[in-house]
Amino acid sequence: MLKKERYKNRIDLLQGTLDMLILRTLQWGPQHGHGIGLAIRSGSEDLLLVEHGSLYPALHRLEKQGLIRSEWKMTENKQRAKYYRLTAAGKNQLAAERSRWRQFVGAIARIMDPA
Amino acid sequence: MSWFRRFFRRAKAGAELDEEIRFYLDQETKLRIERGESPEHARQAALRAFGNVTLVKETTCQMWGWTFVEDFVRDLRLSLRLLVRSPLFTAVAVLSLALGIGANTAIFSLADAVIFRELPVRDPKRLCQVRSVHQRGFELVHSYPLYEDIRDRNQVFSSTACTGAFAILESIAIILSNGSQGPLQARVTVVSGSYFSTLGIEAVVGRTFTPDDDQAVGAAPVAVVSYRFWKQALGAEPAVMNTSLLHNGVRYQILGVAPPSFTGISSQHDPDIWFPMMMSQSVLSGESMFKARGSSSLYVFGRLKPGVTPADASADMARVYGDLQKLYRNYNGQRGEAVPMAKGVQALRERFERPLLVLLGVVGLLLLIASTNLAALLLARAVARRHEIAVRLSLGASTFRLLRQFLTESLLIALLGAVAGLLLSSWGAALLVGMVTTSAHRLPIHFTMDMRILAFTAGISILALLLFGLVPALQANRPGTASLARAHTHSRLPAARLLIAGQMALSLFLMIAAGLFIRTLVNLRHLDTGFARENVLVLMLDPRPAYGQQREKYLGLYGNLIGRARELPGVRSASFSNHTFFGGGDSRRTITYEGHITQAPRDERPNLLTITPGFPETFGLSLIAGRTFHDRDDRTAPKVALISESVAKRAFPGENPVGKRFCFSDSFQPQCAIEIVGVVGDVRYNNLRRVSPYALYVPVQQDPVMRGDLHVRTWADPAGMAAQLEEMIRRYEPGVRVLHTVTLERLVEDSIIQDRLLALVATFFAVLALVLSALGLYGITSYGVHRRTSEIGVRMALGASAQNVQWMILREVLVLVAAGGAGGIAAALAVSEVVRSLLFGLTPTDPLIIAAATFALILIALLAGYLPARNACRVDPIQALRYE
Repeated sequence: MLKKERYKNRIDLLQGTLDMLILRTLQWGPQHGHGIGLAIRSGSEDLLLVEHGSLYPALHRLEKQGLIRSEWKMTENKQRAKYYRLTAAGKNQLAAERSRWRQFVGAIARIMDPA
Repeated sequence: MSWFRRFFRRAKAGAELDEEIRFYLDQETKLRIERGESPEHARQAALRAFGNVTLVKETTCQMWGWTFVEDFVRDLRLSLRLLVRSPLFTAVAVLSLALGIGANTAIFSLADAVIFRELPVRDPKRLCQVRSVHQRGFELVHSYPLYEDIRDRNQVFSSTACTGAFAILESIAIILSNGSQGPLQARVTVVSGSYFSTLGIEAVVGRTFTPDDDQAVGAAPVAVVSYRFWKQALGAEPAVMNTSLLHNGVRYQILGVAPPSFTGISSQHDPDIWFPMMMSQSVLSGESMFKARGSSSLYVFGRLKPGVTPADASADMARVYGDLQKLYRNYNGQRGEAVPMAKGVQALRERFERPLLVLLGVVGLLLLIASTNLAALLLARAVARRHEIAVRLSLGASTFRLLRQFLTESLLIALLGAVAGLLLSSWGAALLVGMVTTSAHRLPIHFTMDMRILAFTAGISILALLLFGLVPALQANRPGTASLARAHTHSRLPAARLLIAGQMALSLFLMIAAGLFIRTLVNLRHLDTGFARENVLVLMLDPRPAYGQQREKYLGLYGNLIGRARELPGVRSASFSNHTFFGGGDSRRTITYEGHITQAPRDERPNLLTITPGFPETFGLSLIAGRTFHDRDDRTAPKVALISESVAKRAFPGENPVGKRFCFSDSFQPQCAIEIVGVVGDVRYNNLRRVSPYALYVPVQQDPVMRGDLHVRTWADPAGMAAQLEEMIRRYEPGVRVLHTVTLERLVEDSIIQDRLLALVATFFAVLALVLSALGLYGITSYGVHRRTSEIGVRMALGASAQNVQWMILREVLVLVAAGGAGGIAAALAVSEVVRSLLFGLTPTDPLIIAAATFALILIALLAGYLPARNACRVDPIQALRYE
């Protein structure tokens, strides 16, 4: 019971950020789950410790919200994989989140390092 | 709907998610191997980094919002499996619930038909019935002149109507356009021309009466028939206007058919045919009711004018009666009143209302017992499943999920119970109606499984579900995970024990009730009625088809019937009279005794029986003074009469009544005088509960009647003579119809049908309740023994004897019984006033019955407790200690 709560909390904690990172990653084109996870890890130079599994609830949530769409395709190695792709709504959402993120970072920075 | 399809696509989605995650793990493993990790290590690391795969899947699925339904289906499957795995538990649970729900639905549908349902007429709440209130109770039937007075003098009714307070069985022939059909039996009554329009009833075929059909005496021979009569006797003939009915030599044209739901304004009489009031002289064989203020046989009712309340109507009726009292002496000591008639005529409903409400209470208690019993069983099961619950909680199940699982199981039981109960109820309701249907009366109760009854069943099922499902579920979930995991804890199950004690209380309560009702029935059956009821056969006759409308023609009939009957072997004596004790009918006339200035008060008017001389012998009446009649008391002889003992004491206190005289009129005159020649003992008449003291007997030769009963006292079983006697009448009096043949004992028995019903039903439920609570007690005790196996083992290893152990177990049972018993007796005492009026010859606190019921409860409880206790002392200490 406790374990589950803790796990859920972590997703909740990351929710906004993780969703934004996924959307940002998909801006370069369709990608499967592993690819997205890899991109986030390498993009952050492995600083962000995302529990790999937490990617999937986030992906399905975004899909249900209509921000991304999924389809099964073949990889370069001829393997079946589910690819996610940004929708128009997803692009708008990314833009909105990005500006909000900038405001947030700016605000924090002003407090932490007052000029 | 799309959600439905999506729900079934869930399986596919689940497989896709599996594949997606598998792909991820494969990719990650591959990546790690490329980085130089060993294959096994890479796989492990990939899994570790991913987290709890199952939980990820579950959380992902939740994103789609379908888990609730999925969980429900899973719970349902699990519950079904659990129920199938313990068939005995399931059978007991479903059956006890089905009995509870079934009994409630059956009684409710009966009560619904008799008490709660409103008349199927337009705006029934605006109807009011007129009744006369005397110092000693009230009266609902009125004379025709009184109806006219109320109709003409009232200021509150937009329309008034009257109907005969009876539906008499008559012989009717049907005349179709292409020939006629032989006579059949139908119940007929007379109504005013305004009857249907006041009620607001439209015919389904043809038309109903208008005031024009009821203008002049004998002018309009027309009829309206009931829907059932139209279907069954007329074959649902659409051209009903071309059909006529032949009754007492008069041809009536059928005007129309009443709607199927309408069966008259009384739940007791359901006429097949309505005739106009103005035809009543032909319908009722010459007894004119248009002028006689003393002959009351009509219900009078009206529809309130807009804005008028029943209270206004009552005030207006009081005014009308006040005016009438100035004009006629008939209404002295009476007050007029208007009572709402939305549910039909009141007195008849009141007859069944009390017993039905008591029954409703009884079955409610039964359902309570079934539910609490079930709760106790489920509770015991829940505790037995502690390990499972503890494991599930520590594996991460939420309390809410577990609660839902428990409730799903209860829901399944409730559903099965409700369905089985509904099936039981339709059978039970028919059985109940069968029990209250007497040889002469049928109850026109129409059962329909309508929405009201289904809603009632659903309601009580949900109530039961909440009771037996929620308590155990909450109880089982209450203790923390840690304490649950400790299987050692001795569970005394306080909630379950409380439930069992409550059941014991309810069982005792019901047993006391059953005891009281049985004793009442026995008292009533052994009552001295004042006449000998054994070995008498009663044939109710209608000679009118053969003898017509002139009374004088009937004089030879009585002697002929009696003479022919006496010739049959096995007949001791025979007689004829206008009414039979407990035959249902009675006649009363205005009467003035010699030496009295005024007529006898209304409620002291004697019941008039016109009899043949053999009557006192056939009925075994005791002669107290004077003589009975003989054959010489005929038309030419001086008029004579017998009176009952109470009449003698009331009219001629301290004097010898023999030789005294009286008149059937409102003053005494020598020219109408009838001489009293004898005094006979009082009898109970139509009602076993009270003596009907005032009775008067006159010879049928001096006061001929056109209808009556032939009574035959036999040497052996009277029922066996029925066919012979009917054959005799067919042969020697071919035109005389036998309406009904019944033994006198049956007639008396039919009068206490309510008491019999109460005793039967209360006994049935008391036994059922006792069995159920004994089962519950057995269950909880053997469960306790099971839980305490190791404790018992330790005790026995330390030297406790088998008796010690048994006593330890039985002591707990006795505590429960004592608590329950005290509660049951307290409850019985608390409601004693409610049942007092239903009892006869004993008080509701009869100590013998309470003691006997308590004894029975203790006996059964000890038996239920002894079996587990015996098992307890057979525990092998070594085994018991290993058991943990």
